[in-house]
Amino acid sequence: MGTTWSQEAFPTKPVELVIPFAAGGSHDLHARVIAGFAQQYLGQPLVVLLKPGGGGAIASQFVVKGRGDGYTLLFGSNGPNTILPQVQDVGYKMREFTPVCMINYSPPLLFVGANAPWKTLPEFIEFSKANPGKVNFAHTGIWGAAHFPMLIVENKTGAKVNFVPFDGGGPALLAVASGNADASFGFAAQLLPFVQAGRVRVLGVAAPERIETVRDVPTFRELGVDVTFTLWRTILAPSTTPLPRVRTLRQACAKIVQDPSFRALIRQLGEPLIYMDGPGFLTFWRNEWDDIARALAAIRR
Amino acid sequence: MFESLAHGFAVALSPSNLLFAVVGVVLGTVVGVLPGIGPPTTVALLLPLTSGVDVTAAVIMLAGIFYGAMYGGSTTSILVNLPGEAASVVTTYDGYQMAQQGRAGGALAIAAIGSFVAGTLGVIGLTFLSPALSELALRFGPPEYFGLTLLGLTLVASLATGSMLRGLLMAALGLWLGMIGLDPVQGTQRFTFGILELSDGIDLVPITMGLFGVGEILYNLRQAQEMPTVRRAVIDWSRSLREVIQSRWAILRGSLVGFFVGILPGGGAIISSLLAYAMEKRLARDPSRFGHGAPEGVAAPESANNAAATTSMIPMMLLGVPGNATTALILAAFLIHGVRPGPFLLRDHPDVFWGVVASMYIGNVLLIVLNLPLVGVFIQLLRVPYRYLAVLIALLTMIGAYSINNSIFDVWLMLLFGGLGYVCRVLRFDVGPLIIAFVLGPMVELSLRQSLIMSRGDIGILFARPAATAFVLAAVGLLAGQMVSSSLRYFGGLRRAQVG
Amino acid sequence: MIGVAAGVLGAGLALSRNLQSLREDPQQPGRRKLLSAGVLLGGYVLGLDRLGFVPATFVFILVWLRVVERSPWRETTLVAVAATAAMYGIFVRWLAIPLPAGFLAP
Repeated sequence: MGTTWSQEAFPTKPVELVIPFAAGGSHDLHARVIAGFAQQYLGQPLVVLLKPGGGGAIASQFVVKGRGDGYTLLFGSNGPNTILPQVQDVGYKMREFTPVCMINYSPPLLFVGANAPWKTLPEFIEFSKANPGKVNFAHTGIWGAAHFPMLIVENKTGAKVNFVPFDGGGPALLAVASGNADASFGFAAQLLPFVQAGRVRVLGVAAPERIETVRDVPTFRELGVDVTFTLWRTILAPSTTPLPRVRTLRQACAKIVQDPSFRALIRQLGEPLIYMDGPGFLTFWRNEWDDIARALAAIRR
Repeated sequence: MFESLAHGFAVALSPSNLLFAVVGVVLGTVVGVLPGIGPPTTVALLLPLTSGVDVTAAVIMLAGIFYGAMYGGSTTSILVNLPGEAASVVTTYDGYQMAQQGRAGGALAIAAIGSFVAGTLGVIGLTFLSPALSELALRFGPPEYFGLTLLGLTLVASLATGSMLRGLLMAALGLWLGMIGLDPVQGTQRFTFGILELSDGIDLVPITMGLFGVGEILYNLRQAQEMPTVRRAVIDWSRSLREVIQSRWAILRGSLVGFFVGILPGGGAIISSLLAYAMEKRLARDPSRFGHGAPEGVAAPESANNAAATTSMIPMMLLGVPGNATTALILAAFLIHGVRPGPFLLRDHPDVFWGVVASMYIGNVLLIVLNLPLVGVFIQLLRVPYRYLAVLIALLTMIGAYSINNSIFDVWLMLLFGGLGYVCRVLRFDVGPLIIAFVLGPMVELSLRQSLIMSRGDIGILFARPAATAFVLAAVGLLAGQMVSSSLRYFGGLRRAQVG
Repeated sequence: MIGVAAGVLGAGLALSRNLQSLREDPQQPGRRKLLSAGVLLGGYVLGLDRLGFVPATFVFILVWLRVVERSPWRETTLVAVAATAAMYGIFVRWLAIPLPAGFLAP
């Protein structure tokens, strides 16, 4: 079986990339950019298939239950693939997937309204400690990108905020900008115009290191709070995919992210380029999985 | 500002942009007519194709699809009692009635003209008031949303044609259906029975397509009579003209409602058409005409949903925050081209903004030119023996249901609602209140809970601000008024029985 | 909660009324049409996944027109072919909706 796999041609028909989120979202947009270069570097077109729902579980299940022949891939993220399996029984965990490559990640930024009294992150946290539940913190869904990191902050610093649910990043942003809420986590691409217009102020970014698109925003770590949340965008193959095929995919991916036009397009979306190859990402993911497990244990106590 | 607009026209009238506008509005009309396939699906599908095209042209086309669909959506509502667009649900009430009375052409004409006036007024408002309007959108917080949606919900009662009890039962069912999914505050699953596909709630399309489309088909099959194919394929234009003039206030008020409600993220076409219809019914001298073929009953919702579609572009373009699925996708189209809508769109890309605005004027003109003659064509459609229409509609609704999420589950759901729709028709339960409660219920719940969380339990937050207070008082007032008048009638009836 | 209670009440009301009306008018052709349509709809959804869009659609239209509407064979096949072709053209080619391809998938 071994030699025949590595010698046969792959791919010989279009490859499907399944997106676990709704149309028009950042994953969708990134996927479309990637798809534009796939034919050139992979030899076959990449077809983007949207399967939103269940917080990303539907798409993940779809890929895991598929044929595992390398023609159906998942464009995963930490929400559906690291956090969700640990808070809900979704029928898959880490070992059902083999990473192909990570395109980038978007870390959330903590922002407050322009009229808010806090000018730095430490000020904000001190206030939330001294006045538990007084800060109205907009979030976009339980265990989501605006909820989970704040839970970790609460856990690590003793701050306490009042979580107000909103229907998505947009409404949450508007709420903070208009003073209906005091603070929230959001993403650079959507926040930047509001920051430049002076309507919101960014206090920190929950990333391992500073992000190129918002270079002058300090990381939480720098400010003394060890919190990171990486909304990663990684192409995942089911772990039943034969290794030679995974290698072919990895090679194609590595070439795509080097392409200057590709890089320019991603930058045009307002997103950074933080590439990690398959094995590198696997290490990253393992660490993240354990971090999240610890955080969940601490939060639930 | 006029120079900007003039410049915008120059941009919009360039041959290629004009072409894209035409393609957009034609496609939009087609998509609006087709049940199940809506602007979000179509725009999503065309997104990848627009990357090779210049951003203004792309947005012109996609926006054209959006408001064009509002023109087309009323067509099937009127002809076969199947809303082509969720926003056209309200149009079925009087539109289909008019068709049953042989006045399908008149209904289509009013819908088209109302949509044109509303769309044009909407764009005019957009031109002069955009910055102010985006501020308004910004300031609308949970208490205001609560007031507004509560008002909408109370109006459901006044919409029930026929037994109030049946209407309320349907609304109760709708409220329950709206609860299926994740609890907005605690994230727990409600009524999902462990089915993963239900954890995001039921999408509106399977419900409307099932209840209206499949339900109607099943019912008609059961009747087993050959549906009388409409012989009257002639339009009485002079009568239509009189009806338009008769409905002028409905059109204006509908446009106004749609204009403001459309700006609100999450607001939009359905709520506006509902509010406009209910308002007209309340304000009419003879409310009993509504539900039985009143032209105002078609004019109001159609104007409202067009105005709403137009103004919903504003929060997307000037705040970068889309208010509905279609504008979210148009936003994506902007992003693919490296243009970020938001507070700086006017500053950094004025020609894109004004080009799009100008093309909306043009688009509305194109649409009325397109749709009025089409009225004649569509009526011919009615002459197709119902046998064939039924199969096709069944097929189209199933494809449409599938295409929302690429999910077979949604098709099953739709069939389930088809069965429910059939039962409702047999028992003469009006399905409208269910849909409205389904849409508004979750909004009322979310905004109430958000407000109470924000105020940490203090209900005064709902009355702390003028707009919120106004809405809540209006809703309470309506409810109270309803109860008072019906109890007066009841006791009056009792008294008469005693006396007589 | 009130909604659920009301819903249950309503359903109960509906059922009793329905049983009554069924007893009252046993319209044979109508009932047959309804049942066959129902079965066909379900069958289509099942077939869609397994057979793929084009075959399932064609069979659906064919069987529907023949069984539900009792249309003559020539008309039926004509409409089935034309409609399936049109659907394919509009939805698969033009709008490029990812419809299930079933076992005919490459």
